[in-house]
Amino acid sequence: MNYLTLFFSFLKIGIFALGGGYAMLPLLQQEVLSHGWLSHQELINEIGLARALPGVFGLNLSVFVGYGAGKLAGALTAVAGMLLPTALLALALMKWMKKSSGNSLVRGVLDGVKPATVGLVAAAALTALFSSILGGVLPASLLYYRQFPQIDWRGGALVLLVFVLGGCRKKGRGTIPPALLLVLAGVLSCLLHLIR
Amino acid sequence: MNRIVRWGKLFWMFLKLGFLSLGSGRVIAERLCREAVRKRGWLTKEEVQQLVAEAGTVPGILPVNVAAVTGCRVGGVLGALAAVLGLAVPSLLMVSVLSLFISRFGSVSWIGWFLEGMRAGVAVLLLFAVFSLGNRCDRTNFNAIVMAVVFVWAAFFGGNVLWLLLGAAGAGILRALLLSRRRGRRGGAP
Repeated sequence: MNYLTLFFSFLKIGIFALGGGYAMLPLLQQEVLSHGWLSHQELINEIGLARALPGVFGLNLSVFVGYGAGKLAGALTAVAGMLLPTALLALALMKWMKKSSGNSLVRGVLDGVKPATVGLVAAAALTALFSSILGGVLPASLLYYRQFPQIDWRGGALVLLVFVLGGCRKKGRGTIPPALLLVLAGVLSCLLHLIR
Repeated sequence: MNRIVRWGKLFWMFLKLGFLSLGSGRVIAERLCREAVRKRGWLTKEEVQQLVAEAGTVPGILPVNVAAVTGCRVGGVLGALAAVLGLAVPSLLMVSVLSLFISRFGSVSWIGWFLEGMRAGVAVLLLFAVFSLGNRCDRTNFNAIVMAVVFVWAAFFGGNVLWLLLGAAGAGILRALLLSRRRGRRGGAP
């Protein structure tokens, strides 16, 4: 485990995280899987835990991944890579943007990256859904399957239940907060296991 | 002396927020701005709104950016450092303890079941994130094409995320140039 690699990976992830915590997931997933720091299943576990814990989601997640890659030193490296350069960049950019607000080049970059992020997160969502419902078959390998892979009924039921739970709105109170939704999903899964 | 006290206050305020806040980046950012306005009088309300809007358009994690800028305005570069560190310490503490716990008790059956449910929850949350991120984009042909191409490439053909992002940025620049040229030919009317 090379700490410099870890640092630069998180530097990259921080710089390309445009538009909220979930936007950094596709790149994070690629870095984590290509370096073999965690398995896909472990990564999804930690995304859930990072979301359910208090604190900033992106920071929680980078500590999880860093810890998985290299214990406490790894966690510190990951957070440093995520924080310091990005914060400095933000400071510099915001000073500069004020002078050149409406700069068409910057706007062009943002206009291109925003829809791309949607597509990337959609791909990550599909992979996560497949790992719950189809038992870890990757969408890319589905193209080469001769027959349809076996469906994990428990995972499918869980996804459906959580989707309905998360989609319904209480009158005037909005949707269930994600942290609560994740805990409910965990409890539901325990119940489903006990029933069988 | 006065400045050191200020840095300490910044650190403490963001430490508290890091421990107590639950919710998306935007919620946290707005909350910490509110505290900076009401309790400390560091910023005005208009400044806060502008700050959150600006911080959303630069790279990085939104609350971290807001912390950096608030800290910088109150106490210079070291103030920014104090604020950002304050925000990071709770994550480091809580997650490290939890990681230790999981590595020790991860083989207990009901914890495995719980995590399995959480994975399904994450899949659904990602799906919701796609909807909310998509809603923030304008409904143009360009956006639809970029979304579709990137999605298919990443999901089914193993496209490299970094190259896809850079390619999309390039396409965005190209589009901006073409649009400005077309506008110029028509004679200035947008």
